Amino acid sequence: MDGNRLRFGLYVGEGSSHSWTWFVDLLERYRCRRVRFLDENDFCSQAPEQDVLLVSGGDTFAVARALKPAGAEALRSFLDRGGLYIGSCAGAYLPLHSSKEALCDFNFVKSRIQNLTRDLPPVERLPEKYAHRYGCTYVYHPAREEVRVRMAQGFPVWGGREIRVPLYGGPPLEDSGDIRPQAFYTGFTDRTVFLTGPEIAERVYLGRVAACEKSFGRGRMVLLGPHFEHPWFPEGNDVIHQWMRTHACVRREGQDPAAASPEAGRPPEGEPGGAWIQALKTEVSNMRIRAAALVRVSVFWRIGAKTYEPEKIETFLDAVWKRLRGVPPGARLVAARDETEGLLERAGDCHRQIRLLAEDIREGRDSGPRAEVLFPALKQFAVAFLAFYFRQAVPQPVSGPGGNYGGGGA
Amino acid sequence: MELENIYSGKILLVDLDEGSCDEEELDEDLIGEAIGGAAVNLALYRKHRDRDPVILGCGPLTGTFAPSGCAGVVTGKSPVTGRVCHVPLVLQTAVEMKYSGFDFVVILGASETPVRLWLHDELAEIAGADGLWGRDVWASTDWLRHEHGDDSVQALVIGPAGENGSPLAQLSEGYWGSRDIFGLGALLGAKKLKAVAMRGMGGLEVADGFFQEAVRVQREIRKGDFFQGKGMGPILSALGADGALVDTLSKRAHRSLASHNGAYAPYTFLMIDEAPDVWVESKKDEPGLLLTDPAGVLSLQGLGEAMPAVLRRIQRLGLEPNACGALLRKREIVDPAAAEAAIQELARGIGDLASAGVESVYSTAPWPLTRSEEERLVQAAGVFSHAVPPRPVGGSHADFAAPEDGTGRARWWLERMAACSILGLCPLSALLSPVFSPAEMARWASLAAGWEELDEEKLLGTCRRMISETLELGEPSGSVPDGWLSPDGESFLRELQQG
Repeated sequence: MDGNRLRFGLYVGEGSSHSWTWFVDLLERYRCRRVRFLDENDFCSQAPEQDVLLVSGGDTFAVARALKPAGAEALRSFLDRGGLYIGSCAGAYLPLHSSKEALCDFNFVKSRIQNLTRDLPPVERLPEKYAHRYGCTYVYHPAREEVRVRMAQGFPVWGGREIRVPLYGGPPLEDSGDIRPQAFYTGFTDRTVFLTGPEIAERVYLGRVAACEKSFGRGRMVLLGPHFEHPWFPEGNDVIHQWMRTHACVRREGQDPAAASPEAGRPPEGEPGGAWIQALKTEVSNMRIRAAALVRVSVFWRIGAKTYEPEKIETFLDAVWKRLRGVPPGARLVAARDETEGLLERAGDCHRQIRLLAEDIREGRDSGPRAEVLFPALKQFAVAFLAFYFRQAVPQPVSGPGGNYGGGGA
Repeated sequence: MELENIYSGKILLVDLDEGSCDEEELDEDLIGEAIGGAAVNLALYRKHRDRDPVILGCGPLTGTFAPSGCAGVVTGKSPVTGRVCHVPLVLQTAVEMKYSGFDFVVILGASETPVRLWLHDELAEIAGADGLWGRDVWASTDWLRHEHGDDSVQALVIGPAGENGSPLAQLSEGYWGSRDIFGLGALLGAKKLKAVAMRGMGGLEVADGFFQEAVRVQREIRKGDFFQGKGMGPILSALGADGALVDTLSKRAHRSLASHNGAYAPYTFLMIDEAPDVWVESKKDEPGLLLTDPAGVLSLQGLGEAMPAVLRRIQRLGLEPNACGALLRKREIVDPAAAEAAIQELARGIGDLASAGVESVYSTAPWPLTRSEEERLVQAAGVFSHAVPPRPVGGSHADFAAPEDGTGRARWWLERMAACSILGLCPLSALLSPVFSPAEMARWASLAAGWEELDEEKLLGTCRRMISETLELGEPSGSVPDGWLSPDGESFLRELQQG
């Protein structure tokens, strides 16, 4: 797979939560440089030009509402041109057939989810992550965190092998005739968290489809229930890598995946970083410290259909920090005009919001309104920084395979 | 040697004259020569001595899994003694400093206006401290934690005593004082440096097998063959404190605390404003105080039931409690109100110690239970703080394989303090268990660092060299009183200086 030439579009618009940052780690690990961060408007206009579209976790309804029929059309056009769509969690729910408003525009794949019920079993833990309404039924999640899946025979490298991947609300699917199953849920581990009785989780997941694909002419959709892209699960990452590698080979038979420019592979020239890099580091580091303190507070916020905890503040900041910390003050950096000021301004605004959020909590005030301002601001800051970052000289992977398991659910 | 297992890899240079910070990579050759902690501090002191440096340093075991690997050291020229001294940091500040990305911080010159230093994520900022100047130690620590948004922020702080240049000013680790008996609080005050705050978000690599061995050694220590008990009470009893004092403390003891990876929990939180047996979260911010300094407690015991409240006031003002106790005894003050007033006056400044009537033997006050020749000798050396008891606590000298003669025992103590200050181990723990021998301590450091050449011989050689080089520096003011030492003792001191 030539990561330098493939064009990746990563959805970061309305409805996306924080798990898209895991795709960033994966792309960097496999040295994929050409990454565009697409909000809902960018998606409509730029999706068809990409080679690979990545949609991770979040609020599926919110994503569908934001993308609108135009987004579905852009996705269709993308597939017609031979693109590879990889959707995990909410990105897997999105193209499944549904009669519900907004979702019904994205009816690409006929396969029923198996975690739907009219009679919700009693919840035993994490009620805020257990279920949400879907018309007159519920989509519910009897288990989360680490699960075991077995890859289908014939899958490159991993065929027939069992791997561990994290599940944070993604779907178990029926093995319908419309999909090609590529992985099945086979079991749980001692790190699995059961939100209701384990026997219910077994009934809902075991033997169901955890990952599948469907062809659309030269295009292909890959739907992942668990987050194979999570940075602490290198086996899952490599499964995704195999899909990308296989697709790139396929696309070369059809058409050239990227109009290779003379500059492809040569890092752009840049200006010395200067004091603004140190100022940005200072701002982000100070935010990290405040965020670490908030993690010790028992608080969460419901924003749309998603639950956010203070750990998610850290996720956004870490996505920036682990790349920012190693930039030496004199590094030559490519930055659009006013971009550096914009980054500092965004960072300053996020810092102010975190400080105010902490004050709300300390004073016993409702911190929900502040959280609703903070999380979008953090996402926008992370996107702006990562877009800047991927424009620099070839990024060095900051998250190699392995690492310590520690959760981090959507 | 695997430097990344034991150090973050940076030396910070803080120029208060210029208001700027710079950094140097930690040189492996420097570590190979001096190992760490006080010995590296001393090398840095000599390099920058024209700028009257104060150096904060970590050892290779600071912040690791080594038993009691909590310690750092502050090195500077004492305004009280005129000599270079090494003061241990034994609470959380050294660990936090190393994890903030700086193993050594060299503070040079002086600022014209009050400033504070903030260390985090390999970043250092000098900021104004006008709003902090004049606040007591506790209020300053609270302010810093609020400012940076995290109660885990650690700080070295001075109080009004340090700002006023009182020779009894003590550098404080957060709320709870320190082992500073050399007036380093006043040294920072003269530099207009109100506080060094730090928050460590980094970490260290761990050598293969080190964690398992550290756990094994901890279990061996905690079997308690030599010292059992938690909190300050058993330590005071072992030192020979009056039973009534220990009883007073035990009635108010709320809980015991240990430092980072402590082999023992030697500190006691004492309730003053609330009953100690009420297990409901207090509505007061700090309804008591943490006892960390046995010398201070012993020195103030004449105040009886009022001792904790007076000690809390001393901590808030940033004063050295042992010297405060000595002065109160000299003035025959036992009434709590009178003691409070006297303490406030001490924080405003007292001129020099001699005119205040404090018997000063190269420190702010002698160890309050001074008896033996070796206890006098270690005070007369004035290199390390005798706020760390100048004798074994968890047993006899024989239990620790210390010599039988006074000079031999003094050397034993000095070398143990040197080893702890070089490696980053709690010096009190080294007096509670003979497991903390130089051979064992060197072995732990060797294992942590993957450094085969680091053994007892190298460690002790570095210790002895450091002690003699420290004694060479500075222009001592004050002297050992006539008759304080025997002729053998005086000969020993000369021998120490010559290495």
